Amino acid sequence: MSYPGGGGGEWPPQNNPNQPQQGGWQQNPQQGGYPQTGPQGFPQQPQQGGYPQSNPQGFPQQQPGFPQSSPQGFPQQQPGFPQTGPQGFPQQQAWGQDQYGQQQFPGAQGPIGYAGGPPKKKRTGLAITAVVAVVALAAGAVVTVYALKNSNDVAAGAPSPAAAANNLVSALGSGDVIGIMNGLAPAEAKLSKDYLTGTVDELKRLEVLKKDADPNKVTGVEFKAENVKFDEGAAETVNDHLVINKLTEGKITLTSDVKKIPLTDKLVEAMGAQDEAPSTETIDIAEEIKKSNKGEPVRIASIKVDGEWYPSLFYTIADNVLHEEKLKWPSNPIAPAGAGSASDAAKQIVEAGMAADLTKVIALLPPDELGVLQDLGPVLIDQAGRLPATGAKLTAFETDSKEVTGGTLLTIKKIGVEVDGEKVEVVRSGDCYSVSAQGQDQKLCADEITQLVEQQGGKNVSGSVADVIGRIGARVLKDGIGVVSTEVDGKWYVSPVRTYSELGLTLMRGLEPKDIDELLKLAK
Amino acid sequence: MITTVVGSFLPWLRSGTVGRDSYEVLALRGWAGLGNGYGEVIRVAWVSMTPVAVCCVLLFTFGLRRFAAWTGILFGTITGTVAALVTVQGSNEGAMVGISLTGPAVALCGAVLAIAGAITVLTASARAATSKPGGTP
Repeated sequence: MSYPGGGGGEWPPQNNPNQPQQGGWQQNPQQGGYPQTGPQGFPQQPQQGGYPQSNPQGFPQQQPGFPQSSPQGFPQQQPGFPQTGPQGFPQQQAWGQDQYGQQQFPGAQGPIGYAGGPPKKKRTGLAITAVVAVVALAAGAVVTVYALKNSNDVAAGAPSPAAAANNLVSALGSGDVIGIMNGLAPAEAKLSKDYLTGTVDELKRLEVLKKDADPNKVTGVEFKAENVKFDEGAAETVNDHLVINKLTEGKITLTSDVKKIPLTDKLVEAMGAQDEAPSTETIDIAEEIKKSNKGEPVRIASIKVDGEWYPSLFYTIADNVLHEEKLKWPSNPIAPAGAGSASDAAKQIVEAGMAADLTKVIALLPPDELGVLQDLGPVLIDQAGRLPATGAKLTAFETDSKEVTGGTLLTIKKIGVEVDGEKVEVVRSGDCYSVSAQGQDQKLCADEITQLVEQQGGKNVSGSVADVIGRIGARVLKDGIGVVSTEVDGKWYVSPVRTYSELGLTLMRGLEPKDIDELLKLAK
Repeated sequence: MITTVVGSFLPWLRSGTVGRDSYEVLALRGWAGLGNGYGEVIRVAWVSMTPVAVCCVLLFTFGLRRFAAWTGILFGTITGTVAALVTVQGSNEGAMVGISLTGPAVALCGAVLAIAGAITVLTASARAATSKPGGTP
């Protein structure tokens, strides 16, 4: 072992395994100093003060900080430093130990070799500190990098269409609802997520669901898939971003228990489900394919988004419809063509609708949510045939905008249409709408709806029903009628799914819990 | 602290038969509607608990025991609060998606131990200081 600052040469005397080793910094008597080992494990001479000396039994001696080898070749435990043992690992002679484990101090000359004070304990402590610090830093770095990687908010796409389908199957098989939702095409997953919470909140307010119902916790339904397999060789590649996977076998077990669904008691009673036992249904996919699908495997579409593959609900529906109708996916889809602003998108889609320009309407749909309609576009137009233009012309179009989940709700402030020289104009003012046509003005306000329903419905409409219809109508007029526009890659599109979902929420907001009671009475 | 860090890698969320550790749960923040800045702040704060634990170990190793103890209290308080909040939410038995108690419970135990250890160190330091002539409590 080399001690910087030590002024001596090699430690005398040279080690003799047959002589009791006095070892240490000084010979006999030994005063102070450092752990020593006697060859063959012989006891050492009494030592005065200082540090523990020999290990009489020749057992491993612990000397923290510096590697050593034991005289008998037994490994010594030294925390912190790499230990070389007698099992064929190289010994570290450079640390100043001879073959018997004696320490040599090349820089020391006699007892004076101690020069530099009593550094060993201090240095041992420093070494331990350094080791602990390095180990802590290394472990912390590894754990932190792993945690950062695991917590990274990345979409759960797959590298191939087959892997995407398998991920879905795996999530289905383990009943992993989060895995299923997270594994779906991002835009589709976002659509369902955006409206799930709002719908559940409204259902809770209407006392359809219990107050503690949580949209993120699915209760009452258990799903299990076993041995589900895809025929990877039969997968159909439609284009660079759409592949149809073929599901050929497996078992799906669906267990439902109405009592575990967080429905309110009054609804469970109305459904007569309070005594209903849990029901389990098992579907053998191979059997179903033979029986109901003419031997055709179940088709599940995977789409490519941002370089990763996801199973897609919309594409799966579209593909199955096409397959049923014996049609093929068109090779030239309609390219999306968004507008410069949310209001422009709404205006353009109204104009395209009036001109019966289906291509333009489809191009104005958001490519992330409804890219399937753009891929299907030529087939849809072909099936629809040539639609006659309405001949109407948009003369005025003004909207109010409001941010909603996932987009912008544009409600009509003013719209003017000219048909065959006649102008019709609708203007919104607060919760009233004024309609001007043929030189006449008519105004309808939210609080007049109930009265209007009663007048128009006469005795056929009961007071409570008129009340419900009136309240819903009033809500629609107050919130405004409009469309939801979304932004994709800097362009604005009109989202029909979000528009209908928003309208659905608006209708629900118009209802009250007592209306549900009325509807339940009518259902009985 | 090691117990808490280990606990953070045990299941915190159960979906069907799949368990997700606390970091995988954070990866779902976009799906859960926390993909905005708040979600990122929560993620960074939670992930940084491991470096905080490492700092604590280093401070203790280098003899700065009081600093280490206060760092340990910070670590234990943050992780313990999060773990306790999740633990009291319950296991949601019967739900297809629910909280798994394994991770939060282990992390909570670790946090309590970390705080207890830190308090012990602080108390010992205070006693040592007062027992020395001229020492400061």
